[in-house]
Amino acid sequence: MVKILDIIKDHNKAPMFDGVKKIAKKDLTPPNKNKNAKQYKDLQELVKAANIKDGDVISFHHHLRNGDFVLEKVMTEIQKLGVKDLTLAPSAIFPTHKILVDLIEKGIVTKIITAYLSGPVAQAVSEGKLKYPAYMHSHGARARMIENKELEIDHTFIAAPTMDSQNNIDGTTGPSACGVIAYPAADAMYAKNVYAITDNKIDGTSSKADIKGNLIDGYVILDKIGDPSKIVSGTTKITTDPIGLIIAKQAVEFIKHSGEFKNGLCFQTGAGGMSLAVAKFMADEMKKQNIKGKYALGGITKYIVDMMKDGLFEYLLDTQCFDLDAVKSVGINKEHRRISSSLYASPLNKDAAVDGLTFVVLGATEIDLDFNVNVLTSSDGVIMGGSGGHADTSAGAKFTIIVSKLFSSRIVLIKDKVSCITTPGETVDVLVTEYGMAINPKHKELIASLKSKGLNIKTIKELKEIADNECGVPANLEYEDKVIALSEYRDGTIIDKLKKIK
Amino acid sequence: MNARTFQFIPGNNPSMLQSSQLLGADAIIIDLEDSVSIDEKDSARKLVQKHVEELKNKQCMVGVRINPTDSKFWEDDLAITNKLNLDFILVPKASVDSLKQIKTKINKDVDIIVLIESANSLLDIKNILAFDQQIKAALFGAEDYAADMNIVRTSKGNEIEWARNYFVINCVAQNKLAIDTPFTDSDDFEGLRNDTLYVKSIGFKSRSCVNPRHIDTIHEVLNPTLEEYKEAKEIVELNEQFKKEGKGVFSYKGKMVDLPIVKRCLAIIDICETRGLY
Repeated sequence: MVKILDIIKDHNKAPMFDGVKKIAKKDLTPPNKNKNAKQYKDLQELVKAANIKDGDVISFHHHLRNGDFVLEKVMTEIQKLGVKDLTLAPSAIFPTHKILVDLIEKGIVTKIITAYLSGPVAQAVSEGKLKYPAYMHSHGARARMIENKELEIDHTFIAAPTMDSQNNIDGTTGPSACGVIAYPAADAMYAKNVYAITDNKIDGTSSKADIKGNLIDGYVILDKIGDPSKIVSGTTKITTDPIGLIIAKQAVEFIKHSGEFKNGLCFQTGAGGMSLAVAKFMADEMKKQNIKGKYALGGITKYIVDMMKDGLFEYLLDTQCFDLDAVKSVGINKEHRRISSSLYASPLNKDAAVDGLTFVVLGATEIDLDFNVNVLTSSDGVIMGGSGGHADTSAGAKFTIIVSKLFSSRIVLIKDKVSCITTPGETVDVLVTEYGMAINPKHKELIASLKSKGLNIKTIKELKEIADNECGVPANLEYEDKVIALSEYRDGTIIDKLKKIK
Repeated sequence: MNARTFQFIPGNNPSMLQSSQLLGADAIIIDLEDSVSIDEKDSARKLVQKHVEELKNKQCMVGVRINPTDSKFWEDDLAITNKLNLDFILVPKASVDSLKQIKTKINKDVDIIVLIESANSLLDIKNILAFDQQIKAALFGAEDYAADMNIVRTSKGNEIEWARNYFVINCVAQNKLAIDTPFTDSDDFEGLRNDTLYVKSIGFKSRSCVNPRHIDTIHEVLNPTLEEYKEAKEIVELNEQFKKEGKGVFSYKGKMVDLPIVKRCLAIIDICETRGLY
């Protein structure tokens, strides 16, 4: 088995992507743990006791999003130890994690393994400041690599909105409530040392636990683990952009005529304004046609919660709450179910929810003529995101629907080749834009059927020509030789390498 | 002229111009007047010229609202629009006098829509509409009308009820398309629907909009219903049969049907079939 750290150190030895292949499911039994967590008086004491050494692998989860205080506080203490050459494996990195820029520049952090990279850290990595290429993966792949022991975590620090008297962690209550805590489930089960950081230790037991208390080695209580205003959105909103609404309506037209718009459908969409508009229009259509779905998955927002309340889905499978309504719902609705990232999307998990999806609606910063998608960089080649659940849901869903404007302020969506592939084109089924939709040529019969129903079908080449005529053909990016990021496909192969922009 | 919606697009906004053909309106009005500040009039003119000249895949009618004749911009506006392949020019603050001036400069082949937006122009609408055959439609500007009248606009619109009725009656009498004022509450879709149902009931077939999100709702209301379409087809078929028998009047579901009703039915069928509604 190839270890992730070995690939990062010498990416020329990495197994390269060679087409989407069936991934054999594995029965993975986590180690038996029955810890009795020790309370530390402060972070300094906890970090000292952790015995962190040069080269250790340290992880965090990103459920507190840009309101997270924990990563910065922990790394501030770790920096005082004088250790170096650490590998950081947070499930995502946001602008609030800017302390890492300094740690990268000082060689304290030399490797980053994550599903999403944004803000100053993304900029620093794009500038080539990280000693080794950043290892970018999907959410499901993160669960895979931890459970399959391709990545062994030495220390995981879990931000815990609430810890009860049995040290169980619940993310739906407390002043820093964030909803479901899904991403560190694998970390908690497999990491050598598991620490919880909370600002809400309660007496009694919580009725639901995201992370069981018997997995925790130690914990500390802080005044605040996060800024609630930046943890979840007050409200997520449907786009009011008329072009976004047109695209969303067209996406639902595709869904309606796909042949799979029927009872029992399973659905995931994003939290952006256009994706929410798709959810709204789809809900309207489901009500009109009296269609009841089985589950909605995600990334849950108020709109998805409302769809369940309106009887359009039997239940929700939640891996992350995007707004306060979702947080509230998962705490009180029986059919709003929490799942770990492994159950969400691990390619090794036979029960992975992505494998049951009928439709997934996703975005893209770039797409090429083979339908390969880039969600890692913007069109200037600078890192601004990552796969998240993109590659996982695309692989699992019957229909992967990319919604995007064809161009915006002269920046075109469709390229001959994308700057960096995150999702392979063979898992992408349709691109919906305001100028029409391009369906993957593998769906010959569907293309003919949709054309006969009057949908605005174009080839992806035709859409590219429209954009190029309007905006001009963009100049190609120029790169240096240094590889600054590896884009892993969810099967563990490297699908692309991103080089530093000149 | 036959269009259900006229969507205003600021002439100095490149991205809105770029996406204007996609919005689904039957016509777009590229604006050089109120939405363009004085220091941008010249650059807006150039942008509009470029946009219209390079327009491919035209999906709807395209017209321009020029500046009024009491401004210093209207002649330069017309100098540009006369070079362009436009479907119409919207003349703001329309009056007989302003139209006399416009006629000396405007391209003879382009349709004119007059904007009625004051008490005087409303009272003189009969003469304004009759001024020239180039005039094909009139648009009621309720916001400026209300300002002229020193009255407050409300969502219910009681304050413009008489004005709307007077406006549409005059348009119909002279066979000009009557275009109602925009509904200005962006997010009140129920209000928009009710208001459009009302104006439809008094004879309007068309409405202008400033918010593209209103287009679909306006179309839903103004479109003939499927029942109206089916009924229209039945009446026209029956009319053909009775004509062969030499009868010009007949009874349909207990009501008398004569030529005006048949014409109305033909118009309904035309709207539905040219737009592929059913």
